[in-house]
Amino acid sequence: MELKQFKTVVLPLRDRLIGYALKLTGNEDDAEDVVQEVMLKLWNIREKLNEYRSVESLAVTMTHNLSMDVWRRRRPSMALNGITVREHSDTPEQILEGLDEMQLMHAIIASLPPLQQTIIRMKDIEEYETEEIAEITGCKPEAIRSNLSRARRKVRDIYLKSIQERNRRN
Amino acid sequence: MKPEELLNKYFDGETTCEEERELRHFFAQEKIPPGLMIYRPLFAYIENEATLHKEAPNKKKQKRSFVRDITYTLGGVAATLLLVFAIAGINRHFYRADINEVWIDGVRYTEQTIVHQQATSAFEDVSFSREDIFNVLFED
Repeated sequence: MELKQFKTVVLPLRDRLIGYALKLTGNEDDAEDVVQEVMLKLWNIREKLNEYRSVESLAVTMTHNLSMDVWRRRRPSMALNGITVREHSDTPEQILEGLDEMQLMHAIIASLPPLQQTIIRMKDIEEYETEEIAEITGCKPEAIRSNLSRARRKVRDIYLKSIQERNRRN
Repeated sequence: MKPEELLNKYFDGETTCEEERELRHFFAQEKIPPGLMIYRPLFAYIENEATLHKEAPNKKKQKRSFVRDITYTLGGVAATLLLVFAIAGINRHFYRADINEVWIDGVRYTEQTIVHQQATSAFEDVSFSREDIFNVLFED
C-alpha cells in the first residue's frame, strides 16, 4: 500500500480513532499519542494491510490495546495484599551492566515508550522528514517534533546518567 | 551552522535529515571538541543502524533479482525453442507447397526432365508391345 492509498484508506479513520482513544484514556494528549502510534504501526505494516479483512477493525483494536497500555502506565504501582508491585523498567544502572557503547544505546532506545521508539527510528534511521511522518499520521508536524524531541532528550539523559554511574563505579 | 547549534536543534526535534547526516559525519571524525565527545556513541549507533537499514532492502532486491534472472532465463530458452519449432514447421509447410519432388529407390529428384526420363523408363519396363498383347490373348 503506497502513501496515496494509505491516505485514502487509513487516514480517514483518524477522527473516529481519536474519539475512541479519548473515551478510553480521558486525556486529549494521550489520545493523540495513541492514534499517532496506531497510524505509524499501520504504516509499518502497510504491505500486509491488504491481507486483513477490515483495516478499520484492526485500527480500532490497536487503538483499544494502546489506550489500555496508557491506562496501565498511569498506575505504575498498586498495592496487592500489602506488597507493592512496581511496573518493570530498567534503571540506567541495570541498563549499564555488561554493555558496550552500541549495546547501551540500543538498550536505551529499546527502553523508550513504543511511540517514541517508532518516531526516533523513522526519523533518525529510516530518514523520513518530520513532515512525511506528520502526513502518515495525519497530525501536525509540531506534534511529531514534540515527541521526537522528548525521545531524543530522554535518550541523552539516560545515557548521561549511565555514563556518570559508570564513572562513579570506576 | 556550528555543531553545538545543530546539536541543540537536533534535541529540539527541528533538524532535517540532511542536517542529521551532517551531524553523523561530524561525530564520525577523529577530532571532536572534548565537550561533545559524550554524544559520539549516540551518532555512531544511529549511523550504524541507518547503514544496516539501507543495506537490508538491497539484499532483498538481490535475492529477488536472482530468482527473476532464473525465471527469465528459463522463459527465454522456452520461448526460443518454441520459435525455432514454429519457424521450422512453417518452413516445411511452404517448402512442400513450392517444390515438387519425387523419390525413386530412396533418392529424391526435383528436376523435371530427370523425373520425366525416370518415369518413361519405368513405364517402358512395365509396358507391353502389340505383339506381347497378341501373344497373351491368343496363347494356347
